[in-house]
Amino acid sequence: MGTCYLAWATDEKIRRRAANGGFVTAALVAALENGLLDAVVVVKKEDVYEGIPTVTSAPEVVVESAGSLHAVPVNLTKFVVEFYKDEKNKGKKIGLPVKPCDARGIIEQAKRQQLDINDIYLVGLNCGGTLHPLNLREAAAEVYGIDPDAVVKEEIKAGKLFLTLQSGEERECKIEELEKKGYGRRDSCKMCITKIPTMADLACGNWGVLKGEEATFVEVLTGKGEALLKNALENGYIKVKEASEKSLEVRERIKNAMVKLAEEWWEKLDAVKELTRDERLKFYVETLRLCINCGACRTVCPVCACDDAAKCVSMHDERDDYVISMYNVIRLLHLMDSCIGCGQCEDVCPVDIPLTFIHRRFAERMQRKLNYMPGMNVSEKPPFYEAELQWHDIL
Amino acid sequence: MIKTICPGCGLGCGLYLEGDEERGLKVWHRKRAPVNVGKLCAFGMSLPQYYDRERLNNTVDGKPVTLDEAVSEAVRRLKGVKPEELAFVSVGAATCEELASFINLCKGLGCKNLELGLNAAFKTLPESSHELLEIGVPLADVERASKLVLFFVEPFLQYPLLARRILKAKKNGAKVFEVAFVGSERGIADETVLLDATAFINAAAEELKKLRARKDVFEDALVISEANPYTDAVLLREMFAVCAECGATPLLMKPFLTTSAALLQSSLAPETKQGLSLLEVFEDERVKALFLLETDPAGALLLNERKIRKRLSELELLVEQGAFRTVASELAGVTLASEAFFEKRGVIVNVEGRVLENGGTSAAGVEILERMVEGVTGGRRSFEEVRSEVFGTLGLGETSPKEDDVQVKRKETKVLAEPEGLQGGATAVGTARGAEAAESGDYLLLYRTTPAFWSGVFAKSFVEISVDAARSLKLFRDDDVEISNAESVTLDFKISERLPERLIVSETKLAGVSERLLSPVRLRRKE
Repeated sequence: MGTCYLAWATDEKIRRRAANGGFVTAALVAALENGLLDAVVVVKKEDVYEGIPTVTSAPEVVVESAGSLHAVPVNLTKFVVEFYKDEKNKGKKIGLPVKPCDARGIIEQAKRQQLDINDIYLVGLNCGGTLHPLNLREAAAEVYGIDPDAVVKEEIKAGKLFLTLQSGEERECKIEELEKKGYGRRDSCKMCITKIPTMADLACGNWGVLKGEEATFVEVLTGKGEALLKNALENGYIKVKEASEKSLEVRERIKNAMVKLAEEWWEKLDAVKELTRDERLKFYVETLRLCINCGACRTVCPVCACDDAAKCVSMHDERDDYVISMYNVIRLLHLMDSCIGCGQCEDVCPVDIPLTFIHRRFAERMQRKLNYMPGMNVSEKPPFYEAELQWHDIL
Repeated sequence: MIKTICPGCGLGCGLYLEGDEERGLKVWHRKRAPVNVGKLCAFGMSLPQYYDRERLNNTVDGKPVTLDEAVSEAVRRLKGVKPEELAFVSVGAATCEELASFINLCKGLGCKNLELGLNAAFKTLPESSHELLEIGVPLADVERASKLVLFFVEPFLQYPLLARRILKAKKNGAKVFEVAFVGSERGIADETVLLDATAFINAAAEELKKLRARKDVFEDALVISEANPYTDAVLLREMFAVCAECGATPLLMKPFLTTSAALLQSSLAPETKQGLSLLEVFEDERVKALFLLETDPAGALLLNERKIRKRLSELELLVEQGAFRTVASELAGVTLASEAFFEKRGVIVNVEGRVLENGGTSAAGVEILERMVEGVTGGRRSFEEVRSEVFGTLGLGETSPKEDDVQVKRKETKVLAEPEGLQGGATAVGTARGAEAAESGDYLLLYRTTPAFWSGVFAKSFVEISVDAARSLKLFRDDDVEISNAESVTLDFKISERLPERLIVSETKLAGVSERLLSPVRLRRKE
């Protein structure tokens, strides 16, 4: 475990605009203004339901983009990969706030030589899950009984989703209640057990912040994380104090409760657990036959770095009449060691194939067997990739 | 990133496009888009290639000119044509604002031949049914329906973002029927009512009458079908007749983004609904001058390029306004370069009546048209004035489009009057010419119309044939097949167990082989 602090922005404007004392925003602004970073990736807020990833060197844009956007499950990994595809961006130092799945995706892309992890400062955010924007709009109308367009702010605290209206009025509902009614978090998030981004440079959040405190709980995990914190502190952008035993205990307790909940969700969402082997095969065949070969799941997959010569594409022929296409079979095999369960594939599937569940069903058992968790450590190569390298070395 | 709408079909899926001509475009999923919740079909995913085409320039008689010169010359030449010899066509990706200006120009010139994609269907169905052609029902109604009939439409391939709604309906307990010549590959239907393609081509009305015996299929159902410029007239009439008899609600999907422009046509120029259809414009020799707006004839027509070129070269005047070069560009007397759809500012109305704002910033297309209007009538409107007319026509008043609401709704959801004249063999709507009769021993080529089919780019390079056909021709995997009619084409094949013996299905146009959605052809192994 890294060193843990409670930290907050010294700038009142940042504290007011951002969540939990504004440490993340202040640290990124400090890094920009003092040359530690060339640019910051922020999600520019259109409204509560929409945000657009943007690269900026302007501190004011970072401040404007502060605050949570739980209903904007953007694909930051592929955004960062695209940024570095542009020759003029090579070698640029960037920083960005990331969910655990974003951080894991970026680390997997680094393993596949799509970017240099040393250039990227990952400010991890604890994550209990994200919501689909249209699902939240529907919940606002159906559960909260309010006009979805009147919502100006959302926040998740203590297992509740708070919606703030234009009038300043705040409404709340337990996430558990929302999920009972078919709203709430995306399925991938419900099942996810990686709640604290320990693979990032910093892990930040409000778990462990005690009542009455307006601060961010910050765990420093790497040298880059330390540099971000030190730069902000020495230049007067933040104040810190060491996290108390009580804070550490609370944070751990919340994390454990979230992980337990995720495990329970996995049990609930496991559509095949009570099926026989033949019935399971039938389920996979009937589900995957809906595939229309759009390729969207591969395009957005944060661990896929293949080009158009990828096996899943080149070995797939639409003229084949296999019960499960080669595209899907190869993707299943490829993701068994690499799937991070982010749910981006399912988000974009035009025919709603439950891809997160299917890939997790295969990957979870394989990754346990291999004692390997993708996206946690840049120096751990994917086992299947490793095997290929060894074979190549032998040849 | 530009917030835009996919021009692939009438659903109007939302997405972001990022990039420029130098780096190329990239698709980002817009999960906030209410039509498609960020999801896109293969066509939507391929939009960077769709937009990566040669841009149109301003020319007069093939020579580069300034936009001013092109506009002046187009006006001068258009004014010199008799109105009855002129036709205005737009079945591509134009905004409602552009179409409103286009209609204004058409009227200013006194022209009655305005085709925005539905004239053939308008002429096929009684006036009381026109609104049902123009606008569908909210797509959420598909999810809520208790009974759905897929009437000669294959949603997974033609409208995948509709297919997920049908799957949801099934999950909610809906019963799904399909009426088709061949059952869906993905087995979406609980029951398939199969019709015989050979019997249909020879006596469509007789074959379709079999449906009258299946009132249980249609009673109170939501019937999903497609209206495109080649939809068979008898089939369309029969669908509406069965809907009228059984109290069913029709939902007509449209292959072109701008087909809901028929709403504007009905309000702003209703007299043009009886004008020439797309096919008639290209067949009727009385048409001597043509103005194409954002329309690639090679995409919208099933004719081969040689025939299209021949017809276009016979015209006394061809004016083309658009973003990209088409088969018409080199033959056009005047070409006017406008922006690509994703760059345009303006709205479209999707098939369900949702008014969707395209996030581009350019109003060049409208400005070009309004300058031409000025040259013809002396009056010229600003973009805002044109938009105001569009909003008024759509019944929005001063309110802004709200993508979360279906703002344009049908007054009636059911078919009020049964269409008359149900007789004869298969015929493309709006043409007097019937289909070529099928003889025993013929194969029948059935086109499956997808967004890729109409756009003419990245369509599949194989046809589907039956197991029996593959056996009788002794085909092996590496073989090719030759499909012929007036001309022949050689290509790959896929064997499909679902297909009746003599049916061939193609998602790509086979130029010169077939000019209809269903045609008799010959099939043989390519030696």
